[in-house]
Amino acid sequence: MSPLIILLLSAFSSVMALVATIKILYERDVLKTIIISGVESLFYSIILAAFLAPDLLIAYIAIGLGLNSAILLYALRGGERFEEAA
Amino acid sequence: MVDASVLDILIPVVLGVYSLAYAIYSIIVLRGPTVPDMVLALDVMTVDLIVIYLLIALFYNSPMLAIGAIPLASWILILDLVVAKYLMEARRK
Amino acid sequence: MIDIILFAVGTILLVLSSILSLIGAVGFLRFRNFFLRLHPATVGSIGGGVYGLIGIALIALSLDIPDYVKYYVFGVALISAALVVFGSPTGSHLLARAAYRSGEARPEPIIRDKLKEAGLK
Repeated sequence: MSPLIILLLSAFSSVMALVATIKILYERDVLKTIIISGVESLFYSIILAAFLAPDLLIAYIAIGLGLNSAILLYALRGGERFEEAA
Repeated sequence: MVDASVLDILIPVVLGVYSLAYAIYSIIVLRGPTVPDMVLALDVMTVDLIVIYLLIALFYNSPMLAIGAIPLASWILILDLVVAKYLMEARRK
Repeated sequence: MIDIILFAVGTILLVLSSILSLIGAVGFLRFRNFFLRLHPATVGSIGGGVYGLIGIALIALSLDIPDYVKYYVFGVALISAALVVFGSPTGSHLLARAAYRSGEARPEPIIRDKLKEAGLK
């Protein structure tokens, strides 16, 4: 029996992950998109915790939040920060 | 020994308050006007998420869920370090 | 007897910490620029996180649950509290320094900028 609040929390997290994805599409600042993609992996990780999947949770935190952000920021040093309007 | 059925009342109440704070922080992260605001809100949101993980692990009596808290807590400092280093290098350019 | 004292202290810490976390979140919404938002970030991370983690550790130590769950949650909560105590203020200071020096966030309603008067480049 899982209480209502955990299910509500995972539902809120999935909706906010969708909002974050839509915001990434319309964002012109690449630094902001990297940070928002880290937030999106946080939202997914709370869904994994609510549905009792600890192995996926550890991998998702270490890769999605940590390694992904660090490697993308390292790659951004050689490029332009702002996209021009398409 | 305190009876474990106390948790059925205590944890949903505390988890509700933490979830409210978590929701407000997530709105700030998506809205935040500048980049350091977003990273700062991401830090505090991560700390709230550690508490939420441990509460869920204590509620389900499943200790394997709690291990996700340690990499999460150690990535706070590293994300701050990487973003600060990028900002300082972008100034110098 | 000692278990009831531990449980009471842990519950008080946990409830206090949840209220402090909510206060920090509202302060994040209300304050005006980045350098003012450093204050609710401290309230939210130390007051809302570390107190709650120590409270969870004490509650897990006093409950009537199997031994491996008890000591596992206790250890993870204390290690996370130590990491947050060392990591979060250091990260905030790094971020504030980088934000001021790179001009990323301006202290917008300002009376006097003593760092600029001192000739900081």
